[in-house]
Amino acid sequence: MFFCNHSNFLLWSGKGHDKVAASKGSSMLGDAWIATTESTDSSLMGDVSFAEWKRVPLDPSASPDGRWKSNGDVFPGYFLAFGGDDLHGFLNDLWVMPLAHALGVAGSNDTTTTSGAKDASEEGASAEVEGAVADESSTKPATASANEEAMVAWGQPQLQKDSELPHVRRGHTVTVLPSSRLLVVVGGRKKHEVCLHDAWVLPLPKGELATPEGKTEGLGWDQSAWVEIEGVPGECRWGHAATQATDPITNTEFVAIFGGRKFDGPSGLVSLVACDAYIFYLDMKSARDGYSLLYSSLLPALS
Amino acid sequence: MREDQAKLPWCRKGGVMVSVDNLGEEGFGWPSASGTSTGRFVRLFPLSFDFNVVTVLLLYNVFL
Repeated sequence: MFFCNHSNFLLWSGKGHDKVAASKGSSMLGDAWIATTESTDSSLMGDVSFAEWKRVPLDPSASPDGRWKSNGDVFPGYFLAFGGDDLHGFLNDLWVMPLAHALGVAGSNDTTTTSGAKDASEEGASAEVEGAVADESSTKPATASANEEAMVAWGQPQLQKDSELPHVRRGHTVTVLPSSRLLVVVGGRKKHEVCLHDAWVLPLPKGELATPEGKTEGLGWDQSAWVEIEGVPGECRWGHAATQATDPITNTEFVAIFGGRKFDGPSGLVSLVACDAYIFYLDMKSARDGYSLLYSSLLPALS
Repeated sequence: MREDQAKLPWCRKGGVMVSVDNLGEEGFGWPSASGTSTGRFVRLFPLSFDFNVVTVLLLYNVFL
């Protein structure tokens, strides 16, 4: 028996060595890649997958700066990213990438830019600097050499005026609840020494979230506002894991959270949050009706 | 190295990777994490890797 199955994955951002931006040292990457895998089920070899990588040609004038420890999730047709660390500080910006366009043009134009890659040597305050030296001029986005119409542009939604924003952060989780059309952000760090014990929900507009050209104006984002969740249990955490799932009995979507790191009380030392997990239900109706604070119930992990 | 020569992403940490197969078409459901399931990890090999024993085995299996 032998068959192939194709899947597509998007890789975006991170800290690494961009060999175009610098001869050595690490940079904040803002590039995006599509990996198309061909999985085989072979009685002879067992499971093997092959990946073909294609770079997404991003429009440097409409893309987030290079960053790491950001996070994002997929709403059908779109990739939503929030926050991270671009070396100049922690972030709380929200971006939307139209995926159909990204998948359609990935690899069609590889001569694009470094997408805002930044020299990691600027990250002097970080304990995780790996030592970087780079030509500063070369870290700026270069002009695309090919057809700009083929580029993928991110959208940066403008939310309800005067609405409260989550703290800047990195090491957080971003989870989409697709049926409820909600984006959930949990935890992270807002400074190197400040761990966040919070959760935020953003109702997504009805209809499309961005045009194929990355425009978000007139799509209803200006009616959306972040809502902070009260009563988040446990302790602050960053570097944790989260995913969306649906209760098969009640058909209720939830976010499952596991682990992470925290500061160990007065000592200030980083310690592990060993094996604690939560199932995080939200009251979707109250999120829709007036953006009031949401009731949340987080249940202790199965043990 | 020119950027257009890069066929693989730079090595990195602190990046984000997601499945992007769901473009919102009818009938393309979301995977459910509920219930009991088994998991497996399968290493992804770049397609550009050299002809080697794995390729030979694959071709052998195709024509078997």
